[in-house]
Amino acid sequence: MMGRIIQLTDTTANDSSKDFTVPTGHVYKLLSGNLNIVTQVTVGNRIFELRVLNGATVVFASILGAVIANGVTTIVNILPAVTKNTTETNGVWLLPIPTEMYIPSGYIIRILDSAAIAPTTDDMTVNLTVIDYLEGALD
Amino acid sequence: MRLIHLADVAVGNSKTFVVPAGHVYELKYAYVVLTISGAGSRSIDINVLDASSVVVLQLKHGDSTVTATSSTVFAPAEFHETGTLQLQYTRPIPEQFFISAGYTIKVFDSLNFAAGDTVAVNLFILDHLDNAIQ
Repeated sequence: MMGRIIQLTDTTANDSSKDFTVPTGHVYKLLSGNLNIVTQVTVGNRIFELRVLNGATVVFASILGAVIANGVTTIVNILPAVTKNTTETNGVWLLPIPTEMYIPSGYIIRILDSAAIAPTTDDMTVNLTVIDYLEGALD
Repeated sequence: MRLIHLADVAVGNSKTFVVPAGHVYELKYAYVVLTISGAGSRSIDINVLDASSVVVLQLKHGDSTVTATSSTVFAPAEFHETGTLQLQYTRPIPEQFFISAGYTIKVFDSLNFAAGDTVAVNLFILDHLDNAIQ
């Protein structure tokens, strides 16, 4: 299989949901990711997830092992096959993904607070590392 | 080889997927959502059956007392959760999970508690021609 490594980045402030769409004719293999989260003053339990959507349909979700409260600055590592932690460990949460997480053409990778506690004020920077394959070149 | 996504999200607590003749499936990961229709214990398992419907692999869920709507990620080297975290389980599957032509992947409540449940299944598979395994 011949692909290329690409970095998907979204540093836009004041949102807690970011989308990355696999281009038509391509397949992504998600290798890892890093989230820098700063929750603001709005009180509530944030539920951070990595989802894959086919259109509007959720076809995969990996959910962080515990909620994140307001006023927190933290890091989430998205890694293959790690065990979820249920409390922050030295400033880091672990969010597992499958070891070979192929994602079809046209599907959407969405990183979000599914509780949408502060969707226009929380800050979340997302960096994802993927291998980008042409759909017909998986062999 | 091509990436395929097989899904069955209809009502029902047992879902099957048959590998077509001339193909071999390599299951990379699965996302299964159980929506319950009443109180009681479930065990959401994956079995592989051969072409004669003989069970050749049983991947039992980590919790045989699933009583609430929840999801499970089945993927290689995942931790074998025995309880939910944020209503989600994880469950390991083989690292190289090849399934032969004519075999069946069965995702189901092995306790068959309620046929009115919905076991919504999403399988992400590399579909190989059976003479072109890599």
